[in-house]
Amino acid sequence: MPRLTVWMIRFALAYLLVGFTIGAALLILKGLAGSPAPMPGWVLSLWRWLPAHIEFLLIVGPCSWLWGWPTGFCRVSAGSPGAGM
Amino acid sequence: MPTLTRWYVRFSLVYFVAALLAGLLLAAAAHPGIRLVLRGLSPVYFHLFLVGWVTQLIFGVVYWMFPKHSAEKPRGDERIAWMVFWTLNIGLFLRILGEPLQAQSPSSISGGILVASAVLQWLAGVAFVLNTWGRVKER
Repeated sequence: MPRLTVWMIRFALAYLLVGFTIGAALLILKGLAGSPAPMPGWVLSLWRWLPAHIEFLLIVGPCSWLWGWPTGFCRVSAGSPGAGM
Repeated sequence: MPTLTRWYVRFSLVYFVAALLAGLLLAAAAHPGIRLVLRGLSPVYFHLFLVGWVTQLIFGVVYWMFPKHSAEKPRGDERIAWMVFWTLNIGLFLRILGEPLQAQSPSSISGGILVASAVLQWLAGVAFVLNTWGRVKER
């Protein structure tokens, strides 16, 4: 696996982790919606992270994955201009 | 194809059909002549597609096709891999169950189901990344 592919897939995995973490926090907030105790403002402000959840899991993570993956199939021959990249 | 990948693909196909059905229900509810109360189904529809279908298919193919972790454990820790499969699926199922209930009338039971769903899916994500990380390497 080329080094660039390794780094792109590692970043995709990191985005997956962050996206899942935000998603879990937001789902817990939904679960606490019916509780009688009022929620502090900072807890409710977690909803600001919803666009990041969508962005990380739908756009940035998959793009990193999809750009990295085909790179692994591109064999650069020793004499070609891209060799050594 | 490894047994675990077969199960991932089978479950992903089931979720794909379930997502299409949820989409049909949402489209029907938007029609002025049809009266359906479908609170909470929209996020369920998205997650059936994106977690149940797409993510599950990716997890299954990654487990199958990524480079070997080592000669002794070519696909990483098998127990963790199966744990990822079950926590992801049980977590998603709890969401399908709990989200419409919580949207309809919030209660401690439906809220607890959602919290359990969140924890299980998060554990699946973390365990998948940990078990896969070692297989992403140059050699």
